Amino acid sequence: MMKTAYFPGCSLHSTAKEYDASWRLTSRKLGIELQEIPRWICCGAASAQVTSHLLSVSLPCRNLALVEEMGLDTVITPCAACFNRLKVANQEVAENLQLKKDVEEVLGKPYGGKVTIKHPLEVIVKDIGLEEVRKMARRKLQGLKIASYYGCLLVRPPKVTSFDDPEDPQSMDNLVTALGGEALPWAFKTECCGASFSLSDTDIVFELSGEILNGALEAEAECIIVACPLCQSNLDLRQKGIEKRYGKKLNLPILYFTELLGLTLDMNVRELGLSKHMVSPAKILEKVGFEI
Amino acid sequence: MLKKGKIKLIPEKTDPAKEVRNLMRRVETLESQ
Repeated sequence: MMKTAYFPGCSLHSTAKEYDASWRLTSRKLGIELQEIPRWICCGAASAQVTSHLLSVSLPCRNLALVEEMGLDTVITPCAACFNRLKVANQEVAENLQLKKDVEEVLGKPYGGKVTIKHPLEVIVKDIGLEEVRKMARRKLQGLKIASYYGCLLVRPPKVTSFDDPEDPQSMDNLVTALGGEALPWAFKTECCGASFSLSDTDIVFELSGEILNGALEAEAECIIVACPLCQSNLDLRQKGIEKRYGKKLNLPILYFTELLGLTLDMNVRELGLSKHMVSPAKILEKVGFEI
Repeated sequence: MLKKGKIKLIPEKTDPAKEVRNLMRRVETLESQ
């Protein structure tokens, strides 16, 4: 059993509960023991960066310092924004002694900077291995046509995130193939969905997310899988609005990769949260033998 | 001696928002120096 700290972040405790549930369930099955960081706080995501650079580094470091106190050396975080912020902050502190001193003064304690930050995809592909996952999968996706959408935060900047190709990432596609799905090549894998503008300028979200949804349909995708709660929320929740704006029916389910993984590991559909999405995946999943 | 059931023990809880505000105040103080 691999024991790691777990940082769910604010989205997985609110709008993305199905991502949290499906990751907790699948990780246990994969032999990972997650220990949620006690008293974790928001990582600051995009809002702290526009307020103060020191704050945007201190918030993630405060959570990483708690991992050090837990006596663990690795933390897994499924939110691409949290993953990005924890990695960037940790690296900035490692490269800048004055910044480290300032962060320690803000936190009121020393900060070791020794914790490794991982995304579940990285753990599945690199630590567990796709061959092992393929063997564990009791059921297969039977050629379901899937567009893997990585978004802009998971694989960039490559110097910091460093686990997949920043232009044409493959980890989620390889997982889809291992689980018996058809991983589609398409051009919008790492385009931004406009997450930061979700509340302040939804026109931008409609435009950017609309292009992604259209790109997936042109590639003949039956669904999109994501690894970020912000991407999921924009593509799923805003889909009706995008359909209205472009006068075009899209009806494309947006699933977390952990939900599909959970299905192939023969887990309970309701527990995985598959019934919680705005665009129902029932039809496409029934087609490949899963009932919702 | 306290009678059983008379006093409820309140588990120690931290308010995440309060914690973030505390850190913000510390950052502001440091940056104003």
